[in-house]
Amino acid sequence: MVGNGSLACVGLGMLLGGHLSPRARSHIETADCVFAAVSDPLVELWLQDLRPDLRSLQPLYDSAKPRQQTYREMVEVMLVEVRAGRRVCGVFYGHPGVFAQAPHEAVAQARKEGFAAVMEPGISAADCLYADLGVDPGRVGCQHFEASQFLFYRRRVDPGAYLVLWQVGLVGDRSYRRRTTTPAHRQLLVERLREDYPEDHCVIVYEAATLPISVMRAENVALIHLPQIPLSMHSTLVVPPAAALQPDAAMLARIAALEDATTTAAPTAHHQKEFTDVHCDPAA
Amino acid sequence: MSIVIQLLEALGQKGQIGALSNADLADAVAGLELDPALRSALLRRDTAELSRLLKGRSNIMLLLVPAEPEVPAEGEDGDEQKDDDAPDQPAIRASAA
Repeated sequence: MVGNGSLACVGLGMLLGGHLSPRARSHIETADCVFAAVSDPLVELWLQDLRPDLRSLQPLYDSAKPRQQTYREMVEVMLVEVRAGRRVCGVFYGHPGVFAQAPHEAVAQARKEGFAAVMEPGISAADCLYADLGVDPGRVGCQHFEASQFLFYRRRVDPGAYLVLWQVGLVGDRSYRRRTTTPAHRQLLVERLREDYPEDHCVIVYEAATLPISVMRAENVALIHLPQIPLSMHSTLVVPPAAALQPDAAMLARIAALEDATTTAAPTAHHQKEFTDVHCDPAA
Repeated sequence: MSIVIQLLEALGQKGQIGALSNADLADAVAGLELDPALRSALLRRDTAELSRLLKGRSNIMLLLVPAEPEVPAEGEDGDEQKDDDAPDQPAIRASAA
């Protein structure tokens, strides 16, 4: 390791006061300097109460420059302090490693330069989505894409699974300077989704609550009407399954044959010993 | 810590079934010594006004992941462009942009 500088990028969770983990709080309280990029002015004020010397990363944003540049600057301001030998904490809303570029890059860069760096997970918008909408990604599967990337590249959609499109309020933005895009951009998204879903398919516009006095948004809308629905930077589009799971008959037959072969074959002494060695012998 | 932020923190930490009702919010606010404008904004759940009254930031930009790799500026290392073109690399390059 080089010097004593270190970096911890921690997640605040989504809800003010409610989601902060003890480990994240410890990093915030004990770091030499704390930087923050959060989702709400009141959340920033709350953090300022925890750390009056908090350094907000918000002033780095500027509509005159692309966000990628802002993210590079975020990484650099944190790394400058790490190189100076300070214990640095970067605080990010939600999970610092989910749909957030700067924390990943900062941790990677710090490690590359020989400094200790960690990421502490937080409760992400995806976690809130699963809870608020009653979606279990394990039931039929769940695909997640960044909405614009979903338009810019050919992605393979499985209509038997949930599809979650993040940053849908900026869908189609290639300037990386806007805060929202237009109904015309969303119309292009609808046309792309129409390749896999019927026009009257019910989709959900979701926004997690960030304050205990606000409520989460879960607005059902027919796919075809999506362009007319107001969306923001906070909006996520959830597309429920439109098709039943399709059994893979050939694979099921192969598995059945495998099972038949296993159950009809008598266990050998060798197999029995192997099982014992692996699972039952505490000295193994 | 300001009383309002303290209240929001306490409400955020309180386990409850469903969203905070107007009656519960009124109860929580009732005993506090608050500026009338702050009390009104809280009861109306007007978070923009609350933020203004508490001198919070008027605008917050969210962290957003770029959807595609950044196009290198003229004169930048051509090798990076090669990486951008790799079919299995766009997300990685975007993250490193």
